[in-house]
Amino acid sequence: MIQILFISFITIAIAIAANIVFGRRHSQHVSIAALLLVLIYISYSISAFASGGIALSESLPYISSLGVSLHFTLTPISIMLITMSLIVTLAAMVWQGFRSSNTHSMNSLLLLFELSAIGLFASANLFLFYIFWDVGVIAVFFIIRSFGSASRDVASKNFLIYSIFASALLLFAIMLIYFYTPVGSFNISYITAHSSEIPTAIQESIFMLMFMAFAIKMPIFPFHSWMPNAYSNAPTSGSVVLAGVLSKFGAYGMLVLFYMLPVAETLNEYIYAIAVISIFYAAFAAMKQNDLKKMAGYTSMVESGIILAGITALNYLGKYGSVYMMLAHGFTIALMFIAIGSIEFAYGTRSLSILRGAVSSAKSASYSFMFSIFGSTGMPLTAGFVAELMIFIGTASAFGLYGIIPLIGVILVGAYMYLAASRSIMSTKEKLQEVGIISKPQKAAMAIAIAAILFFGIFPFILLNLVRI
Amino acid sequence: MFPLIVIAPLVLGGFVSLFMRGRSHAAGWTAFAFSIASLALASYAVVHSFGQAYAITWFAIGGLTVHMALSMYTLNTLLLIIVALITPFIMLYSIGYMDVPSERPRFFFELSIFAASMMLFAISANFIAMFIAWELLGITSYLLIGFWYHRERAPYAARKSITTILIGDIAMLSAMVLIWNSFHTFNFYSIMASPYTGAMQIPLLLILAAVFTKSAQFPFHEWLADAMEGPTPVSAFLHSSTMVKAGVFLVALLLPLFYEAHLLYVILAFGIATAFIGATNAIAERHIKKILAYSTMEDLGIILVALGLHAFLAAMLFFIVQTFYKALLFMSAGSIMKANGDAENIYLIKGSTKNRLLFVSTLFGVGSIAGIFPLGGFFGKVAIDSAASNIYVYALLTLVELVSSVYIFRWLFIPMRNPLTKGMDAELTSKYGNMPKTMVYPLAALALLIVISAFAYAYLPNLPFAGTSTNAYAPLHISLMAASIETIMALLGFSVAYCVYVKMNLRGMSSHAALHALVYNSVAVNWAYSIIAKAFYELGGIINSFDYALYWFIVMGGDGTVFIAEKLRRIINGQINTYAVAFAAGIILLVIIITL
Repeated sequence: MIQILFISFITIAIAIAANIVFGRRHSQHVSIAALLLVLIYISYSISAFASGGIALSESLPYISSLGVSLHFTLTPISIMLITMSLIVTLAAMVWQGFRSSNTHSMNSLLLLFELSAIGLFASANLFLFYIFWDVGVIAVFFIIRSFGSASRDVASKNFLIYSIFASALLLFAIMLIYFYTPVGSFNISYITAHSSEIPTAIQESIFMLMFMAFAIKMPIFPFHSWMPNAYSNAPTSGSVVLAGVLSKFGAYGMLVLFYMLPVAETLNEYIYAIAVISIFYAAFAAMKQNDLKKMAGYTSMVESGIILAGITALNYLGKYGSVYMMLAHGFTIALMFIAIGSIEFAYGTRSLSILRGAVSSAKSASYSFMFSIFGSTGMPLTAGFVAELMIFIGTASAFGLYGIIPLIGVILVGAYMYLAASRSIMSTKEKLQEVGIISKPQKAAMAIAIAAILFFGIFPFILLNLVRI
Repeated sequence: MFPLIVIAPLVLGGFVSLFMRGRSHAAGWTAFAFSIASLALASYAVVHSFGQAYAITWFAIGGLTVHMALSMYTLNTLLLIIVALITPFIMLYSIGYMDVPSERPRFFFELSIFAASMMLFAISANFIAMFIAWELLGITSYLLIGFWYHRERAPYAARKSITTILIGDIAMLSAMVLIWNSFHTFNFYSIMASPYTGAMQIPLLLILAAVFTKSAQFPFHEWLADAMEGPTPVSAFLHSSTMVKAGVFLVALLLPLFYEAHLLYVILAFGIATAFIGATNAIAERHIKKILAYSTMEDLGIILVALGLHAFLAAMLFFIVQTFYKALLFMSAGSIMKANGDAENIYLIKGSTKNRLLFVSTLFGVGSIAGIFPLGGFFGKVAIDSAASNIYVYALLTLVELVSSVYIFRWLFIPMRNPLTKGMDAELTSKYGNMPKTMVYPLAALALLIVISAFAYAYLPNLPFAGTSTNAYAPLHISLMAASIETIMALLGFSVAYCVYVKMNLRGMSSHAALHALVYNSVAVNWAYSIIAKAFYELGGIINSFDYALYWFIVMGGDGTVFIAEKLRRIINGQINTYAVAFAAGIILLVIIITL
């Protein structure tokens, strides 16, 4: 029985240590190698999942007086999300190339973040969930704080305050759960089994607290105010992991929450309404953005709303559809931010009012941007299509015709994105002079993201077959 | 999954030509060769697996099992052969047309994928395979319409088409979701075989919305006129057999469902409205290709009218004959434009009779569209007229046919009649004379096909349209009265056009501004579009301001907290007497509270 997760943690920890000890030299090689190794472990776990060649549950004693152990489980959902986080982090890491003088600190932060992502998606108890949640937040805070653009101070502070607030709510909710379960426990499967014994009023409080915490992270209206600044001021690699992976912390938490407490069955219609409002709010807010990154941020908020809608359906397809959407959206938004970052690198701006005719010399980035739009509108053969099909079959069977309302939001976003693309990428009136040439690592990062989108769109059964077992 | 081999050559050819040098014509010839291979394989596939259906599981989760299903029933093979037949012509024509060496590989790549997606569409047997092809068509058409992205209008035209089509895509996805929830299958034939339920009405309306965006029907029709910004071979392809035909084909395929849901009158109403809009706009338009684009709208409208009349065979007959004459006319327009230095206004285009072969071929197309016996168009139009049982529908159709005869002869006459100066005459003669052979010969071949396509009238009723038909369709027949009225209309149109545009040499309708605005209503439609877009944009502005206010509200809340903290901090000043006073006040307050 191979303990995939512990090996992964050790691999990443060694890479972080190597980054700190050896500094800039070989930092890129070591970090990428570490991520690739973990990706290989996870691929192995996908193939060995059915045959039982790997440990599905890994546990080490930790704080026995609280009943807390270092307990991780490999479920189909965690495998999907870990795969996504690895590929997205890999793309973010590859994108920044070899040149920067403090590659090693960026890489160690990215690795730390990836460590927290793996830990969070695989954690079997809320105690570990909480710890990894905060580790991820801190890693991203430092990424924005140290590598961000002009107003990174404000952006990182906003981000941190919101995140700490979310953490406090989460902690409070976890403590409530601990005290109200029959035998105080943090174990998610134990809580799920015994959650009906928690009084309804307490369940509602827990639900509200956790919902707010996760809604801040996803983000969902009206808890999203940290998002535009953080996304636009983070460095490109930071935006990629922030939108691609960190927002999935919230989405994954939401999934756990909805299937943990039975009170969700009475509240899901209201939450669905919030999701729909959030989708339309973000779709309309995206229209007036001048900064491509902010626009991409609001787009990602629309998709977060769709993920939440899938979760609220509380049926099988809604559940796995939203997980697949987390995967698809991770890749799509990563590609979008990478493309925007590359366009900015080539032209020195990402302002829609200035940028013109990017396709004439930044071909790869422009085509990638177009592809990310196709992906986010759910084109078949991209992962987004499989996800949207599953989600909306789920929501339509839960809410009837109301279940397909969010799709109108997709039209709005698509229409606006095409407008932005035709202005900034295609039109060559007052064409801008380029200031940089897109490097090979940047192109490689785009290729990784595109390949992932297509791979999981054309072969969705690779991951979805895990679920059937 | 055997029929998938028909698209393999095109996909392969597309990628091969993408990685070729653009300097020679090699990329074009490669794409052409692969399209011939595709035609051969398509013919073989039709012979080999006619009437077969194929399905494999794509993915399955929970109760959702998604298959990829293909079929080679009569309707599928019909469209497959049409597309496979037209593709080599388009490729051949493009070789001469594409004179920007650096763009050749990209052009032939996109064109090949476009053709391949239409072939996939033709043989799809369930919503999944169909939707994949449907979206690929949308995206490749976006890339092709925006092909000259550095021109002023191309990005706008491309965006307009993809935005309209996106609405249709989402409508189609919604329909698929609802259909799955009521039938638990995506297969067309299983859905048609299962008993009809009222739950089908909304999905069918959503499918119709998608069809209207794809086939440029009112109120989603304006993108088609702007799509003229694409290279001409693309227009020739898009208007004849690809893309716009996908929508009406889907209606034909699912006609039993529409019949059972009592939605035929919707199809009929929108079809006839679009036919009218198309015909009237065509008569007032001056852009040589846009006239043909509006004409396509009209053709598609007429096909939908036929389907709305439940005259399936007449619709399919018109579907077939329209392919050839529209492809020919667009190619002819492209060649004429090329000789005139890309002039687009019919009043500026000259010498269209200089190249005899080109001109004579064009005459076949014009005759067919006007409905001259014995060309294909005549049979298509008369068959639909004969099926029109309702006198009003019949009258409207006849009127549309009269108008279409007028505008197509106007399209023909005005460039013929434009005066030539001496120096220009020699220049145009040499330009028409030295036109690449590939831009002329395909037209001659298509003219031949226009004549041959008339035989579809005799052949079509013998085809086994099994698998689609559950209710009796109106039989294909031609009534003598309809035929004579159609001939009269064609001749009347010819005479009107001759009198007005040749004899009187009328150049426009500027003196009748109100009439012009009524006829040329695309301006009004575009205005309506922009109003809707502006409304959304304004709403976006309001929400964005709110978003900003929300952000500042939260920031102010934070600042306020800090402010209160600052004030509270002053109390803790380390002086014992302040604390003593506060302590005493607290005690007094406590006592008061307790005693109360």
